[in-house]
Amino acid sequence: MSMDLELADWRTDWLAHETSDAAMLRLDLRRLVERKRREMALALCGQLLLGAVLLAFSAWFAFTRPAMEWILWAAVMWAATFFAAGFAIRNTAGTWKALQESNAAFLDLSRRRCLRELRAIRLGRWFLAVLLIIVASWLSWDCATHRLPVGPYLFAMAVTILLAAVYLAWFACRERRGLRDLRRLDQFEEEGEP
Amino acid sequence: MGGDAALHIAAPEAAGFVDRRTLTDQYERIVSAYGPALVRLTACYESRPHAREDLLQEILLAIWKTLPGFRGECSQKTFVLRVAHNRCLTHVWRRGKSAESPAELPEVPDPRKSPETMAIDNLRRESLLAAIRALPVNYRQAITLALEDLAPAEIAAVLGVTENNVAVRLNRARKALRSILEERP
Repeated sequence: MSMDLELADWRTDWLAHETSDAAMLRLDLRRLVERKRREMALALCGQLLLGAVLLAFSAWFAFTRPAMEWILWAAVMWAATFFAAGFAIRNTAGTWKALQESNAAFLDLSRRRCLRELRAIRLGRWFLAVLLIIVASWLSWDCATHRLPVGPYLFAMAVTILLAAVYLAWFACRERRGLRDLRRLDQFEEEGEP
Repeated sequence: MGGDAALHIAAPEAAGFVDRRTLTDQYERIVSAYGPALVRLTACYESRPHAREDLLQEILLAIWKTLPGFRGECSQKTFVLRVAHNRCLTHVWRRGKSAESPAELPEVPDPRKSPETMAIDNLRRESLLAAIRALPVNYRQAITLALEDLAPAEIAAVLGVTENNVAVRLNRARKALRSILEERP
């Protein structure tokens, strides 16, 4: 069978109509859009709430204990929160717009987004390490100078280490996902090489 | 699409700068012109009907969200197919399985045993769709665009590659597809 006849034959089968096809197009777009909007709004509210709680708590703490160390502590919390928020906004910006690029450009954009996220995770780990050193040193100094009893010191250290462990686990999970996505994108590019 | 009432929804972010009525009309025209092609495309990525419907919804939502940003840099057909194929690519990459292995292809029912109402052309269509789903994604994209009767230049515009690359992919896709179809009873 000549190539053109073969393609024409496949095209006939390809274009054959199924009764379910028309029904699939009669979907309620309003319901779908509203559902997506609610999901995105809920996710955003959750993140904003967490950020607001951290900011409010650190501000209240610094206000009720107007010593330089607590003011510095509040400043660190605010800087970290805005950094995380800025990264999240930058990473999700242009997500929809990217879809109208050509397939090759979309793959390239997706790949760059993955690499950017992996870089941010590495930066986040270093940032966490620095914060951990600052907090541990701070608490240890307060305990050593008898400003903080041993009991509360141990409790504070335990909470700090636990929070750091949670963040590290979250970073590890995001890094695994990022590397997995990068592998799959590379696979698509390799398959397309002539 | 359920008439105007179903589409009086909160419009995408840029709709403040675009007449909502125009956007809605444009969207309805796109669904009318390309809807069947989009349905066929989802069948190349999902064998299960409910998953196919979910994927179609994702594609239509993506078209709705990106339409305000479309400034005519390419033809409307290229725009729609780019969004659709990119959305399908995201679907595959998230699911983690780029192709169904031939061993996973659904059994084509024996026509002697199937109900009399099952038309032979439906069986052939399902065989073709199943074989296309077994192709790597890049070949799948090229062959589905060719089956939609796009010229090589149009396929190149959707995929963002050269026409030479399109020709090579198409050749390989057809060879692979032929081989899969010949293996099946």
